[in-house]
Amino acid sequence: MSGMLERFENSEAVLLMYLAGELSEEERLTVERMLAADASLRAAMEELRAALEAVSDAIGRLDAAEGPVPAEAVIRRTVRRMRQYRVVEQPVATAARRQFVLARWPVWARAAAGVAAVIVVALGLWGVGLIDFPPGGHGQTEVVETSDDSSAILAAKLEKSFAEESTSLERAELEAHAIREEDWFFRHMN
Amino acid sequence: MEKMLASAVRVAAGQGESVSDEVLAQRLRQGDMAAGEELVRRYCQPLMRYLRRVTGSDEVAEDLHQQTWLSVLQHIARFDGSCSSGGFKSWLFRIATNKVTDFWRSRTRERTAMEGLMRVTESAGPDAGSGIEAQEQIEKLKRAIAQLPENQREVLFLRQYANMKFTEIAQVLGCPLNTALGRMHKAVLKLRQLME
Repeated sequence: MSGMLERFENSEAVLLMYLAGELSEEERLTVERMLAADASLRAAMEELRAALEAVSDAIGRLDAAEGPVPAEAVIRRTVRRMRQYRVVEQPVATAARRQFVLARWPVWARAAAGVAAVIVVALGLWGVGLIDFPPGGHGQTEVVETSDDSSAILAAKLEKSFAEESTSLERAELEAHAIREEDWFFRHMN
Repeated sequence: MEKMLASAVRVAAGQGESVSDEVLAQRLRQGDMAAGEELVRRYCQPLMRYLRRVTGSDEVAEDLHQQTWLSVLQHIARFDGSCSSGGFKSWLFRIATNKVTDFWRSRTRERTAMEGLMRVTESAGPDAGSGIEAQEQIEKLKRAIAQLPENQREVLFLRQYANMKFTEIAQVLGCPLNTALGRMHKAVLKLRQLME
């Protein structure tokens, strides 16, 4: 193949493009020079042209034999589904677009906006006296005293209860296993 | 832009010319379902024939036809007629081909191929008006088409029904131009051989 036609892998590809009229003017002239000089290439081109026409005609005959697609019914059903889609799925598409717009903001900007919103709300609530800040601030803090002793007793009780429960579960499992083994033994012995 | 578009539509309508696909797509994007219906009507025959030949089933073809148009609605905002190579038709057949690919993926190839072949061989007998020989040829062609690999069928029928250039077909299928040409060449030779 000529250097100009190097983008094609083989002569069949070049001939297909030539017959389809998709080569550039320069490429077309090159192919025509080659066809004029090479009888075997000319024969290959004629064979390919005949095959393309035969297949195209055969598919045309097949279409004619099968008759036209029942277009009106197909169009009616398709358009009905499209209208349903417009009615039902449009809001989803709008929501998705809103999400897309939100997603265009960088993460740091969204985080900063969130923090700013929290601060504004907190300041607003503090301003009207609905919340108090720790001592040294604007309001008074109520300190709830907790007893270390009562916490320790509660923790010990919980631990004991858990240990007892685990032991009884393990025991029940061991007993069930022993019963299963006994059953298996007697079944196989008999 | 909108005004230019509207005037283009008015001029075209006034002169009795057919409105371009791209103008109809623009109107559909603005929510004009009549434009959508016109596009569906315009491409019904080639698109349905393509889907029918590639899938081997009328029912599947109609289902994929509907799915294709729903995808068109879903993504119409992304379609840019001025940039999209091959225009609306290429875009439409690209969506349809993707639907076909999804369809093949969702079912096992062997099973589907077998079903397609059965449908082809069990299809209606000869028409009263047509000769037996012609009918035999048609049956032979159907069987031959069913034996083609899926990727060869796609190239062959995109060319046949969408009348697309090979460069456009390669873009639609997402493969190099040489691959698309190779598939076409193999498909044509194989069909011719099987029909003889």
